[in-house]
Amino acid sequence: MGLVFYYFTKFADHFILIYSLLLFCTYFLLSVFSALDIINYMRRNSFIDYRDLLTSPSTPDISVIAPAYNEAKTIVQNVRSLLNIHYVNFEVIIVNDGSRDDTLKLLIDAYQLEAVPFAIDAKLPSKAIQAIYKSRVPSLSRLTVVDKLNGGKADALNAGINISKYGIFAAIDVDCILEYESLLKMVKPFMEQAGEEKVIAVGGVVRIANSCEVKDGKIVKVNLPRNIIPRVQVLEYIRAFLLGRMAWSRLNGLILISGAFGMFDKKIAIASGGYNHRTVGEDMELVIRMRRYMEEKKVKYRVVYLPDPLCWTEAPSTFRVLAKQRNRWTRGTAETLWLHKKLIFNPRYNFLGMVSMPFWFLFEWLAPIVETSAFLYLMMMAFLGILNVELFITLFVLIYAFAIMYSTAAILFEELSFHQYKKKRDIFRLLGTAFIEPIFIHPITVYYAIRGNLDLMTGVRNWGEMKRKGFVSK
Amino acid sequence: MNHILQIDWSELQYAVDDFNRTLYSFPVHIRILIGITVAFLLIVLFLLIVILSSRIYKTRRSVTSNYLRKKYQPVFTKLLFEDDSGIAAGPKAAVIDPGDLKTKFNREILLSEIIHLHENFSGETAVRLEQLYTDHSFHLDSLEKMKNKRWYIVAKGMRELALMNVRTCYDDLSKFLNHKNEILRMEARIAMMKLSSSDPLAFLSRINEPLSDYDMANIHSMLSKMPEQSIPDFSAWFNSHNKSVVLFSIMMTGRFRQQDSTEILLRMLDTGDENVKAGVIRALKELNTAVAEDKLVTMYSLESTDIQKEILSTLEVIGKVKTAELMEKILKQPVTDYALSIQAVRTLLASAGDAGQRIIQLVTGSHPELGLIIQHAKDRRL
Repeated sequence: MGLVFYYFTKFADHFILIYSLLLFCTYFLLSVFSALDIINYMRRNSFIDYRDLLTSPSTPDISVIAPAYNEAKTIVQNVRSLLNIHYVNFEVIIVNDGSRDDTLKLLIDAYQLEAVPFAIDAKLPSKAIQAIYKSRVPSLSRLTVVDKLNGGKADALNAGINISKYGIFAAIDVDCILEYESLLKMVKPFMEQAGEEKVIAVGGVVRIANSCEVKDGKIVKVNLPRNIIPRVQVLEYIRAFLLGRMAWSRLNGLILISGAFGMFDKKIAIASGGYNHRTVGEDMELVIRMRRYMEEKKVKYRVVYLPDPLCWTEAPSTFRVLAKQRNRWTRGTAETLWLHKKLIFNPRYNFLGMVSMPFWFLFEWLAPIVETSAFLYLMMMAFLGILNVELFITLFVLIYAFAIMYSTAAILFEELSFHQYKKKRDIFRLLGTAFIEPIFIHPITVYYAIRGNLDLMTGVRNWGEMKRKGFVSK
Repeated sequence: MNHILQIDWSELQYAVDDFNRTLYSFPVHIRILIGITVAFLLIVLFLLIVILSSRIYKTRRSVTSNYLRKKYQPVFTKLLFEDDSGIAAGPKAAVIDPGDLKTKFNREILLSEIIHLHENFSGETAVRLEQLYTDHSFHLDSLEKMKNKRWYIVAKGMRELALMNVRTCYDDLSKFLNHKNEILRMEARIAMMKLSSSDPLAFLSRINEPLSDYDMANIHSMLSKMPEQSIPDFSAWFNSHNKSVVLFSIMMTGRFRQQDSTEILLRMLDTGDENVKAGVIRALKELNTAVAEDKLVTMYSLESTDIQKEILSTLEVIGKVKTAELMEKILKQPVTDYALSIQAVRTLLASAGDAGQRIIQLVTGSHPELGLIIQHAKDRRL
């Protein structure tokens, strides 16, 4: 027994050490790739005039699909903001997913909607559509409202795809604020494909709008959130989008486009089966399925990510809401990885199978589990009085130093590229957040992730409603 | 005071030795981890310095640029709007203080200011700015940029020369038409279009790389700003070896309503290439080519669904009796593609005077979806 315990501790010590070092190396490499891609993008972008796309017959038409569930508080204003997007030809499809509040009634009244006969070509499965509305006002001809039975976000998006007219669709959260040129920027990669490689999806950076000033549905002043919870998320988002996804985009290994704002090739999305409503991680699941479809068809393809801040969203500002969000994210990741477990370390799927999927399994889904296990192991060792204090302290300081370094690198990327936080004070506060986050907030988010895994095992499947405070309007 | 500042080297040495002793008392793996931690912390320090330096640099740049702008705003205004300004009197007049032109940083700011002004003016005012640009040797800076190894500097140089109308660089630009970097290719095309006096699209015959939709949008945008007489006959590229050039030319033929190309377009309907065929059908729609009806009706049943949709969309504009007959035939068949059936109804409504009557006949005794499809098609909002 003693020998078993001895080998167990030896294994655990080495595992924690090797896992940490592997994680550092991977993240370090990702930040290098990100830096290269952002620099390249910034340089290229300085020569682009997006106005060229506004008059061209080769610019594709776009369907913007936004599911809405109990959004009565903000729906009228949000739809107005969507209708004012700067683009040539687009339609806005709002899918009322069986809201229990006044969402539909408010839309009908505000936009003078009436039910219309609509021949629906249901290529994707979704819950029954009760009615489709169009406005009596000619200037609102872009707007279509779908009223359907509640079936969740994925189901609502599938219904939206079924009634959409155009070959490219943008899936967005109805409460997001889009930047003025966001559609023009997102559609450009689709227009740039000239060779064999087909662009199947494009994602954009999502930024946090808490404490920002909003006027007529547009961000007019970017402020760093005063509340520590959304402020930490600003840092997390910069890290995830600028350091993570940009690198995966460069490596053509991206498997997650945020559900808040993404653009997709409709034919490929339909051919791969549309959104899966059996998972709460429908955004990631769709991208993986589209990639899998292309790999199986042996067609060259790309999933592109843009570093521009194109979409602004409200982040949770209380621990209760944050817990629900992180719980859902964890369940979504786990469910998606499980659904596509066949791909992990499968050379038939090339980079997707050999790098992207294993990374998500080992360093995204497994990381909180390893962290918690390591913590419990160290507690046990301390309790038994055999904790290697030197190793514990050194490892703790090392991880802390790495966390600060990674966050500081993310802040530097933001500072050199998009420079959203103009006030010096904001940058110092962000740097300060980088120092306190690993100790005070990170353990809490790890706990939420663990809860998410436990909930998944016990069969919890709900979305976890996100209560929003609304933006600071000017 | 001296006593206070005196350093006791032996004590420092002792502290260092003590530190080393402590460090070396750890096992090797702990020492490695400590080393990595120190490296991380040093990187953090370096990153912090870069963040702060970047802020300082941005502030300095903004201050200098504001200073130069304030200083030269009245000078440039005088130059642009007054007849007796130095520049009008003759070349080489020192409008800009030579002291302000010494550093590359200042030259860049002034150059961007001149270019910015140039974008907002035309005619004589623009010519004055072009002269100012050459008089102060900014064109040499731009030419120098074109020799740089970094593509984005080369592209910047090309753009500056094109904007400031330096026609002598035209031949140098053509070297970049088939460059592996797409931004350089794009800038070369734009610059050649701007600098060409007679044939702005001459480069189309020389490009080997395929044009993307974005490239096409870019060239179209430039063309739409040009006077009508500069627009060439696009049929000249219908036989290009570069398929994307063919597609672009077909699209532009429709867009610029080049009716003389109708016959060639009709002949091109026999092509086996789906993309070219779709482009031709769209162009015939834009050209409102009524004579294409027979051909389109005949070929309809042999084509793919995508081409069929294009045909129906064009027949909606040009179709008459034969189209109406074809539409009736299509609508009597079971619905396989909703979009196609909806388009067929719309085409029928547009092509037949008695469409209402025909539709009533179709609905009676037809498959159940057709009623809804007809209602959908009749509502132009959908």
